[in-house]
Amino acid sequence: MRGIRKRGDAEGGVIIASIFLLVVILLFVAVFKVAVKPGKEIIGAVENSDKTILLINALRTDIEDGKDIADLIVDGYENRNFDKAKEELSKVLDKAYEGRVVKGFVVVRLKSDDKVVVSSDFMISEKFLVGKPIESGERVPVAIANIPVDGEHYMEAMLYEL
Amino acid sequence: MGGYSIGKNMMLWLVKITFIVVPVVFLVGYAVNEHDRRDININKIEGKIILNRLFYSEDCFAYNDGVRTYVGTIDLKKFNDERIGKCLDGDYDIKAELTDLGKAAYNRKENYERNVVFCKFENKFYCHEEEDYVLVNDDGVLKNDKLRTSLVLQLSK
Repeated sequence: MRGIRKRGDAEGGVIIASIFLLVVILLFVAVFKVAVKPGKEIIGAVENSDKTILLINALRTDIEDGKDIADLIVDGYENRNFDKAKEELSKVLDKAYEGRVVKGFVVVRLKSDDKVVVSSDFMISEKFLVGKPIESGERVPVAIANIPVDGEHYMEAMLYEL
Repeated sequence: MGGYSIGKNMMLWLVKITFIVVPVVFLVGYAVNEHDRRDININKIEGKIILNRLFYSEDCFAYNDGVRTYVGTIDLKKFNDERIGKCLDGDYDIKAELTDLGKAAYNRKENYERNVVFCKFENKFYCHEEEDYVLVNDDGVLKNDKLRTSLVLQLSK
């Protein structure tokens, strides 16, 4: 008789525990319903295509004598002096990013058949720069544009935003 | 006695299972329903796509030299109300402005100027602004400029 009562007590306990669980779940649902408004998902991620246009336009910006910034970069590679290219690209990027808090930098490197020929990345826009060149390897560029140098090589310009 | 015990156990298990299964089904149903009813706001992406057409499409302002279209380069000859009115003839009002050159074009000027003041009523109007660095082809001369675009979209009820 005592064994039957113990068994009954245990089953009663399970039912009470189940009711308690039900109450907890209902309470959770009620709190969730009050606290969380019906989901509002905002889709707005089409920024990167604009950045490619920005980079291409920056590289195509005419500077002098029919030369654009891409030409200055190629000249800089041939003369081993990128000062002019850096100066002009800085001006263009300052104008393009005017009024925005975004910081970033542009890296160019000489490539051939997807292999980097000149491995020393360098900053082309110092005013625009935050961080050191080597750090660019860990980041993903927001835009990449290729500048043909000759039949075999091309310069790859990469825009980073921080 | 044994049959009575088995029947009672089954009843108790049914009660236990009901207490567990019903709330779980209810909870899953509720979660799925909430996910289904969520409001997906595509106004921003819609605004960007419409405005990007201005310098992506040859039918709008994009320069074409007869061979190819230069995306991001604006043909100054095309920069007028008539062109933008034909290329972006939807249920939205647009103003495009070249800031350095000081030129502006509207698809529906009167509507734009009337509706832009209602931008603060976010449940009725969605307003989107963009500013892009562009090149402007002025009769063969390439200039750089900023294209400031603004869109007013009347939200459907």
